[in-house]
Amino acid sequence: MLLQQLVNGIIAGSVYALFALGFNLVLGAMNILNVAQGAVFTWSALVGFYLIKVYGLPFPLALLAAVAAGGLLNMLIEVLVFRPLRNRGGSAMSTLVASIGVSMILISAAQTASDAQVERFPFGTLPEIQWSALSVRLTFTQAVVLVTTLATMIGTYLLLHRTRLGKAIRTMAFNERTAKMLGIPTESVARWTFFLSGALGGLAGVLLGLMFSTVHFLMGEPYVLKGFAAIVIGGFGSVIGVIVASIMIGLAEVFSTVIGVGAFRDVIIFGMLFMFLLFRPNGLFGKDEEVRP
Amino acid sequence: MTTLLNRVARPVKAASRQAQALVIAGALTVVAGAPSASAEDIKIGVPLSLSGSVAFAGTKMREAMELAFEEVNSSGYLGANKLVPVWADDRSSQPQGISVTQQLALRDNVSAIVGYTASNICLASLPVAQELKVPTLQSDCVVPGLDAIGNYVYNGVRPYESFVLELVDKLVPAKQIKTAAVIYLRENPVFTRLAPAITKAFEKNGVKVVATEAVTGGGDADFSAQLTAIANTKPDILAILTLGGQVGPVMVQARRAGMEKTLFIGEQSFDSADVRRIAGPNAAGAYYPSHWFADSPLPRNQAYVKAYRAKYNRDPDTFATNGYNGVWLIAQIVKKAGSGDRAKILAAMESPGVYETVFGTEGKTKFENRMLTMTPFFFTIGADGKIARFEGK
Amino acid sequence: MSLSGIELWLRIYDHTIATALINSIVSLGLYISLRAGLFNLSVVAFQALGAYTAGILALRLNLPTPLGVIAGVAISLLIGTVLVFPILRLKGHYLAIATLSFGAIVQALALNLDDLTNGPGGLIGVPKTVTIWHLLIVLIVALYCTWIVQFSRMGRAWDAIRTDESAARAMGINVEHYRLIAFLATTALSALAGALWAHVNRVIVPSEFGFGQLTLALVNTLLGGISSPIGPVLGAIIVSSMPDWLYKFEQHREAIIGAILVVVVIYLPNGLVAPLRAIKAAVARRFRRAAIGAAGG
Repeated sequence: MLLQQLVNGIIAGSVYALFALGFNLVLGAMNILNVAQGAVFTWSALVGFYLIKVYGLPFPLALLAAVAAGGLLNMLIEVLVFRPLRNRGGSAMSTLVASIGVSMILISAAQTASDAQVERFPFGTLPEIQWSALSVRLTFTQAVVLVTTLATMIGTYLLLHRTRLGKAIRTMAFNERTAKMLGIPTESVARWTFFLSGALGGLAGVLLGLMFSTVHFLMGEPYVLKGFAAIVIGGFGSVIGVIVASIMIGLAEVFSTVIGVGAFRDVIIFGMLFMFLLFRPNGLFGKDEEVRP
Repeated sequence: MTTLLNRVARPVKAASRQAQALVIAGALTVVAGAPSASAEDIKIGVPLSLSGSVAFAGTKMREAMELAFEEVNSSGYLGANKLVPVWADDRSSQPQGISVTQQLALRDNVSAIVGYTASNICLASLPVAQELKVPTLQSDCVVPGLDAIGNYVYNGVRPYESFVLELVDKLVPAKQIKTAAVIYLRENPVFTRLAPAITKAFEKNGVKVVATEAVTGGGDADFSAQLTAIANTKPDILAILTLGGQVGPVMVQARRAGMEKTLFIGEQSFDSADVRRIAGPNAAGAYYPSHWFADSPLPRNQAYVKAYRAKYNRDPDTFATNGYNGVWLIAQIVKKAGSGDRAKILAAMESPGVYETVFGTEGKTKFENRMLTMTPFFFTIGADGKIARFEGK
Repeated sequence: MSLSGIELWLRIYDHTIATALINSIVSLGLYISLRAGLFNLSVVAFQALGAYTAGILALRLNLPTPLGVIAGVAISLLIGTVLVFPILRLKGHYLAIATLSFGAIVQALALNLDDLTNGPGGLIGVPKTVTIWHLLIVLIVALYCTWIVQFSRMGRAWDAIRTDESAARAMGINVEHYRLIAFLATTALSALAGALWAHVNRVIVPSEFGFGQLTLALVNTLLGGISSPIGPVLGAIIVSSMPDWLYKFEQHREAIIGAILVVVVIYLPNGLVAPLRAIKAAVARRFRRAAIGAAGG
């Protein structure tokens, strides 16, 4: 059973990681904590669901479309909300508040669109195969989630470190004024950063909906706070850190159940987050950013 | 007014509805009260959660209650008197629930209140109704303790505890159950009360409860850790005490975690098309009690379901029915009282009497300790996703 | 309106008014932190601490209301004092996340410490001993104090820290000292509002102390604006009285509040008080001009 719980924790953690990577990208490059990422996650899952259920699209196509929808939606938020706010010299606080507002609008729209119903991807969206070895069960869907997550993590890392866009994003994360002076088109890089972040969130949304048989307008809610935790524990701006922290969170949740204090899992996660903030605010892998006055 | 407009707009439909309403009214066998001399518009306050987190339930209640008010008025059930609903939205929030109760009682001077949607709002609002001395019939809250609020507060539904316990008594010998496990939603008082109650019921029947796990609410849908822990204890039956939206995913994930043959037992939240759609074949072997279902053979229920389908073009659910039943209960009480006077309505509620409902196997029922009594149905879900009555074999 | 008419009106809208007053006190508390440049999201957590302390003392020990309320504030201040030193070492997003996660912890504990809090069922039957008059007095006193402080050395220090922290430091302002006072003032006001709320609402459940309440406090405060203590109070009263004229759009309430947040943050960064002030200034100018014109003629 312990082995199975380990697998459960890693799978849950890898979905957190996909979600938190997108979060972290925007926070690192733009210094924006985009709470609406949770709503983008939900909307992508809804788009994927409707494409399969209503239009009968094959899963890979629907997944691609849902991921693109997540990216575009996030890009739209940047263009309509965050850019005007930046141009008017908004503070870190006002961007966070604006993203809370956007999130409320999008979740309310999702509630109306879905009539507050809980849905699921149709049976047989992915083959219902289950492997079992060493008392560990793994479904085909779970395997797809693991492989996709791993591939995406590597892809994101390569994109950030091996491409011109990645370089531009990292330069902006270092200092936006420097990026401008180096001739980087910061506005367009910002748009693509948001696209990428939304696409990661969207991917997480569809995979999660598929794996747990749930598509629901509130499904993004628990991920926002856990995403915060992953960023803080992993360390501001570190891809590896966020992935490690996400899996730690997944495991902590699962093992709180194993040792019989499952009801307190939120206390444990946020307690961990709190302790890190107080005693190691740069997280596990964070560079020595200026987080203290 | 609404009825009038509807009649003008859709004369044919309205006429047929009126005919149905007469059928329902004719079937009533309540002791007739003294008919009042002059026509009276009796204002009934109807607080519901029409927006916010439980709006999905409140809006369904409102639809069916509109239907019930139309039926009461167009059938002439109260003679020349009419019931005039005063709708109010508590926004699924406690303080707003208290606020609208005060407004209905003091500003609108309603003769009685029928409604409320969510248990936590009942807990906050019903003491206020008691204090302001408004006869009140709550018709959807199932949290324990509402029967003890005071002499003005009556309950048109009852907590599921007794139904679930009855089902356990039937199911354990029929299926030779030896071990059981419980998974319940931590954030909802209905389920935190039900979890220890069902554990006791299992133990009373000689069943060993091998695991109890809590899940959180909101958007959380990953129950794999809890279900892996439970699957490890190999229970014969799993009690799933969560809201409807979570029941389906729990069933699917339980089967996946290795509980292929485990039976499921639950309460009202099992009774929805959503659960069967989301769980699919995984729901096979699920058992639950219900005080109502759409195909219940009671003639009164058949007429109601027909009228609801005609008006809204779909099947009513439990929330709708609880609301509908509440309005007809208050109509019967008002008829006994013979007027909209609060004191007379209270006296009518307090005097013993038999009421016609669409609930339970019997339909006819009465209040005991200010709470409606009823005999539940028991159901099981088959491998084909179809529901069948479970008679204890 | 006759005297009895007013009395009836007050009875009808008793709880609506009480809710608006409580929200005003919380918003005023949040205002103080924001004024000092602290993105402190712990208001709801301290509100919960105050409410549960007062509620538990009233129900379990039958303590008189004033004692319970004082205890609620005292315990919150104690916890606040322990937390304030590590928390204030953080800034910006980190401070926001830390205070937010403190709120999540408090709510989860309220939900799971059944013996103390009665879990999800909540505390029921807290005596209703607090009236809207008590709340009004508390609000006026709090408003007065905030007003006085705003124009004192402390208020000017808060403004300097908010505008440019390093400049404030360079001017010799003891940044830590003034931020600490702002944080604790917010803690005390939130806890006071929570403790009073227990005796107004009679029922305390964990679900009423979640992210939704925090959003509401933010909306109230930012809608009114952080340029004057009147702002958050005005915001709270407007939002609390919104249902009547928003009735038709009730299902979209969340979306409307979200839209208000976005629009206010982008286009009215100083809240509603700013345009009101501009109007007042314009009217005053016109009057002055008219007066000068009259004198000249």
